[in-house]
Amino acid sequence: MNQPEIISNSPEETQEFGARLGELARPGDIFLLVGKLGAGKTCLTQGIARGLGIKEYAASPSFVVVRELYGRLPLYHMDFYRLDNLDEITDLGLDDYFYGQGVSVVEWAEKGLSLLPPEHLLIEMSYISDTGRRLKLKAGGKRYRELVAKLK
Amino acid sequence: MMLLAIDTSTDSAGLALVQDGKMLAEATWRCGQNHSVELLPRLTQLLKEAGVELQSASCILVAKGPGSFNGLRVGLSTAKGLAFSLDIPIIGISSLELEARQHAESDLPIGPIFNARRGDIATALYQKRDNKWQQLAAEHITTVEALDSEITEKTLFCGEYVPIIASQLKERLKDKAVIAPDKPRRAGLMAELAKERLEAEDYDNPATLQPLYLRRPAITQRRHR
Repeated sequence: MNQPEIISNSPEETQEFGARLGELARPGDIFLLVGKLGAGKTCLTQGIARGLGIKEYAASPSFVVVRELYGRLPLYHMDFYRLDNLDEITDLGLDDYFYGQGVSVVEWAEKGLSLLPPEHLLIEMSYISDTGRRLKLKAGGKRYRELVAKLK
Repeated sequence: MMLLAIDTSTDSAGLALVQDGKMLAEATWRCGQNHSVELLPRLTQLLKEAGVELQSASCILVAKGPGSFNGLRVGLSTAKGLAFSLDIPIIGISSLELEARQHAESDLPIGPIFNARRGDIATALYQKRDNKWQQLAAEHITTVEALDSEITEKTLFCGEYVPIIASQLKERLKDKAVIAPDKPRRAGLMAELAKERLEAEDYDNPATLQPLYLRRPAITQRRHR
């Protein structure tokens, strides 16, 4: 119960799961995505964007760190891949996003976990096969436990 | 001498034009996180309303924080850019002091509170004593819980975050906490706060003026609530 798992057999299924997450998202929600290159973090985010009613393509924000997309709620799509130390992350002032009116999705969140708000949904993505992925959900806080319960 | 005051410290933003102690025009609006988009068009509009040229400004006053990380960057870089291009001086004012100032006539010490997030608050203490406006406690980060031991006498709390935590304040501080009526911060009051420094020509160095960020050192274990 505490750590539910989702098995996705294809990128389409990963996006489908993301879309459900996007549909259930509320202002101020924070989703942290953790996993190796190719684990499907951007793919999942594209699903979340779709669930938020965003038409625009959610490209990886690796080189710009944050992209704002607008749908039913704003999506703040962040990527810590390029950031090498914690000071760089604090210098960005991302709290304005995390405590704002949109939904924050952070790829490579493991690079700055200690700086991210303790209340969040952590999604760990790992390989099972070429197209199969395991998604482990870790809810930090009541809001996210309820959200995970709704996702089942 | 015309002053241009800029405040982008929080979701509530403000601009004011003050000439020789008289308000020419002032704007306070709910800006959200949109400071970078809204600030300059609002300034253009305000100058038009007041019927003055930007070139008549003789000093820029800017709220330097604490407050929204990005909001403060927008305010300070706009202020510095204008001061540089107009070749006029700049003075940074504490955003908490500005928040407190609107209640200056209160008999109580005034505790402005901003949301510092993650359960923290940013606060300071001010009071007019012997007809002189004074800072009793410097800007710092704390929590509502810790405030109980910091606050020793009845205090007036103000700021846009206060209505949200009013019940917590009352519960913790009991009779020591008086909740101020919810009034938006006004950029024009920066002119009062800068008066002495203007007279003394005690300006800030635009190259070194920084936003007042109060965050604790980054690498600390967060308290889990």
